[in-house]
Amino acid sequence: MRDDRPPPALCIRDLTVRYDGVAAVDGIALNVPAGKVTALCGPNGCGKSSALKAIRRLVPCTGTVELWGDDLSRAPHRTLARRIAMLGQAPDAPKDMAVRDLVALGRYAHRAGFGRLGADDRAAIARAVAATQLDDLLDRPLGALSGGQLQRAWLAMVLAQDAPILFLDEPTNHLDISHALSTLGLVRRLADDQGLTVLVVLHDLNLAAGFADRIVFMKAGRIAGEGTVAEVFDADLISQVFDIPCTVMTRPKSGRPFVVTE
Amino acid sequence: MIRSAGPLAAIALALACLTVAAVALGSSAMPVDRVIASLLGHGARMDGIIVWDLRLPRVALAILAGAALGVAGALLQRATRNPLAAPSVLGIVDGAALGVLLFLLIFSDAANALTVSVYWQPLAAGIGACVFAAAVALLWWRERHSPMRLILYGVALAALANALVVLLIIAGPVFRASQALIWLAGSVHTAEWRDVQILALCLAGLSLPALLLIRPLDHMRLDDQSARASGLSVDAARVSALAVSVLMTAAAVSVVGGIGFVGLIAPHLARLLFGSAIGAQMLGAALIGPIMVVGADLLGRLAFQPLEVPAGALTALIGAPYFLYVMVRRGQAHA
Repeated sequence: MRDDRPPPALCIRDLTVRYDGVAAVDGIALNVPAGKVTALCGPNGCGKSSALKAIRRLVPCTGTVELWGDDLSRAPHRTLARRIAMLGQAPDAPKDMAVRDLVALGRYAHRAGFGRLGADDRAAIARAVAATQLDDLLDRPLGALSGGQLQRAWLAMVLAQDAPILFLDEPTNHLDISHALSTLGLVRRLADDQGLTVLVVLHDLNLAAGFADRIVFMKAGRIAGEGTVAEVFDADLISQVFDIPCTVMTRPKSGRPFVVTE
Repeated sequence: MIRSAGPLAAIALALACLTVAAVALGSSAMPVDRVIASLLGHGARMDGIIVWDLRLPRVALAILAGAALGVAGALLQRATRNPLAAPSVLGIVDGAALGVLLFLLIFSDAANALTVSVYWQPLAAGIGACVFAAAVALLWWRERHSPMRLILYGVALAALANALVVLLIIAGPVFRASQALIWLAGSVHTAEWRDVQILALCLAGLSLPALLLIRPLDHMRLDDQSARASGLSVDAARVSALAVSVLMTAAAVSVVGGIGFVGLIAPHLARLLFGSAIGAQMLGAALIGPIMVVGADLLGRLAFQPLEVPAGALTALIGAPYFLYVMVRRGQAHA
């Protein structure tokens, strides 16, 4: 964890999301540093998922979001999609669609009107397929994939979008521990090797502590704590955010913290 | 597209054969070689009149109307993400019919002649179709998570449009009533080249926006959130597809009347044969729709001779049970 902080990729101010008048996200302010993996954690219903969608303008919200200093609150989805790629919680596509067709849909924001995939498109798709190790599955229909393979196919689709910022909403939700680890390992490598800025909603605190550079804790629509893993992964803060007694310990090999409950 | 070349060629061939059959068969059957000679422009003079003046306009109109309804249905099903959505189910056909009927009542004189050009008729159909489509869309918008609500509002408004049509026929001038009834049931038997020309012009104008919608609608195979996150303005794509679909339906209805359920069945068959890519599905529907309408028209004038059954009555005879079948099957899938 180096200390030379680059300028924030995302600068979020006064972001508020209301559902039927009730604030799910209540005026949060947050800087997301470039090239880092930032985990958004908190109990169910704390507004972490809504905050992610609001930053990407997928739900009605108020407040400002700047990407590297540009206010994009009026930009069309096409422009936003070139800057931010996002994998939602329950993505859906026809079961008879082939993996290669799904991945190619990730190029939508880069393609104009008619015409086939260009050289740039094919290169981006090839990189995404290589990163997710999907080469052997390209002609497989989505309906014939296992849960882990399906998640990789969707990840390849958003990586093909070739955006410098990646949002992930509970990407390990339906995965077993080994697939969860390999998914987050891939995300970690993308940040380290390609300088991708990642904002990921995770409810598993130990996965967050194991892979993220920074953690943002949310509770009841507000930010309860924010900083590097070493700074905020603290028993008192976690107890307060989740309303449970807990102990934070250190992993023997990586030196990263983990949390246990009794 | 390559793997669908076989079925595509088969369907195109079936349509070609059906077209020749529809021209050959009638009150007096004509051998196929004479039909083809006439179609190519070197048949006997009498054959030429029968083929070019009497039968071909009718077949051409059936082909164009079938293609328009098929493509309109494919657009509608994709835009609403609802396999039950079809121009006739959502009140668009009845809305267009109401528009045409009002147009005929307002702009006819006592001698039963139009006081304005017949080229305005598609516009009247378009206005009627748009009003009813917009009403269904507005009612549904608040509850757009519920696919069944869309169908219920559509069916209710279709019934309303239909009731208004019946009212107009009963209350309107008597000489119009029987003619209007035949037109409403959907028939191409009054076809003239002028009708073919009107419909062809409308469809030519609508084909460019339909082509431009291919990529957005293909992207809508993703769920709304994924489609937006990867760069599609989903609502804009949805509204554009609805608009093109409504206008195509209106164009078809304005010249052939209420031929229902083609826009339901043709896209389903096309989806089955050519997969979920919208370009292939629209092309398939544009070939299967004509087969349905030409086939229904041919059957309607041959099977019950000397009576002629309107093509729309026959498509409804197949379409309505199919609609129920899809609905029941979907109900089970959700249970």
